[in-house]
Amino acid sequence: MIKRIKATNFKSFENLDIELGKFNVLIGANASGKSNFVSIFKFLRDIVNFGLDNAISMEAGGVEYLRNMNIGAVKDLSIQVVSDQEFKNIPPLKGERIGVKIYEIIYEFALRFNKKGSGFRIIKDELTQKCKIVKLERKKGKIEEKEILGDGEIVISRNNGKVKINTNITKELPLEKEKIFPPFLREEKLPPNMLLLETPYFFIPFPVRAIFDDISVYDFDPKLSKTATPITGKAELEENGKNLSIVLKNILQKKEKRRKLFNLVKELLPFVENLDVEKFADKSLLFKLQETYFKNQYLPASLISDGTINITAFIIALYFERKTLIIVEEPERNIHPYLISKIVEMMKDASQKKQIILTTHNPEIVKYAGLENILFVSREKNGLSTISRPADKEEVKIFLKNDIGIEELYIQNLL
Amino acid sequence: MVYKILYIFVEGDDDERFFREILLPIFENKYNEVKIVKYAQKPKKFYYLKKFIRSILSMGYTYIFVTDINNFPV
Repeated sequence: MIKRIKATNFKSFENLDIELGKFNVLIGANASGKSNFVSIFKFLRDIVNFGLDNAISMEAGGVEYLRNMNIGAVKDLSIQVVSDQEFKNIPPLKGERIGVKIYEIIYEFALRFNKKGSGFRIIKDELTQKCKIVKLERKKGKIEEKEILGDGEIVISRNNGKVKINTNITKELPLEKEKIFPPFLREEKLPPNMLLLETPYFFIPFPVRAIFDDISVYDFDPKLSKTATPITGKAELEENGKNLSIVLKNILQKKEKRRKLFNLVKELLPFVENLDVEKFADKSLLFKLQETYFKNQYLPASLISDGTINITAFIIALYFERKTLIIVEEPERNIHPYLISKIVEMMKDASQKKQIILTTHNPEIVKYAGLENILFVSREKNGLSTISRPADKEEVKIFLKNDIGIEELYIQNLL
Repeated sequence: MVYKILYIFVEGDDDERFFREILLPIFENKYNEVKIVKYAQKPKKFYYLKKFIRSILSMGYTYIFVTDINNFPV
């Protein structure tokens, strides 16, 4: 789970420092900075998948729009991410079975801009992996932890264009960096605009890049899901939901998954009798739905309501996609207010297995989300965005104590 | 310095516009935050206002209550 994000001079944020939980509801007025916050995650994911230059181009079109337009080049752009996701590895040691267990990862990079033009250089790029060194033993064919031998820290950083690895592990512990990293990963040179995040250090020996590239930002467009999809599309759900038919077909083929999907869909849409996917002669797929009102006939996707499609895609994203973090943009779109409380409960339930961030304008979501899960994005007079937790504000606590609902405070702009 | 918030209760959008454009710049120099609350369209509005005003008083903040004199002259 990503538990903390810090950013400086990134889009509308000058100094952002926010702790995240398993379930996070991002609220705020239009143009307050919600999407800019989400774009931090997209930016990190794009760096992993496409490299820094491409990520800048994809996220902002150029550094002049990635940094804050008022602050400009005078302040460094930096991002720091803290994650508590665990990673384990057993280095090849003779005689003893020793394991390294990463329990916290801190990654930070900073870019310094040239005073003129759109050039920049990387001035900080550092991955810190806090770990425990554990003694292992084999029990009934399984390798288990026997005892913790001590704490350690593996710091991989950029130093004059080269990769530097420091292992702060107590000397008494039988582990050296040569045992953790294979020889080809030492003293590697880094090109000027390449971050460590793009290199093998993020998956060898610990696949920590999963924290960054395993993020999906869903913004479903039901109109796209209503069109036929070529059979050869992606198996995982696209962020706009356009390949819903393919994903649905794969789920429906497996009995247990099919049962789970039906239970969840029926919880929100009791009139759904069956869901199916039709294959056409041109090798395209289109899903169809049978309602309890018409037992012998299916409705083709084009006649299914936008809300039904949104809910189906939403359930798949929550319960069937293997992601460590999902961000859902305005999940309430096309959905009747009566269902909102159930949707929020589903998100809370799903957040036990994956971290969820959602953006919303909907007071009903705010009402059911739970005060501790709400992050409020607002803009100062100088145009800079800030994120605060209403739960920390004394006046919010007093209003709530006097029976004024959190959703009312949100509507009245009092958070 | 003590943090000060001013709450202004207005009936609807017209009053809100007036306060935001004309009076808010004056109050902003004297208070850390100025918040405008619209109440006219709320169900059980006196009960609604009572809860708000009770909260504001217990916080020790200031409020201004604005209302039309709809029934005068009779």
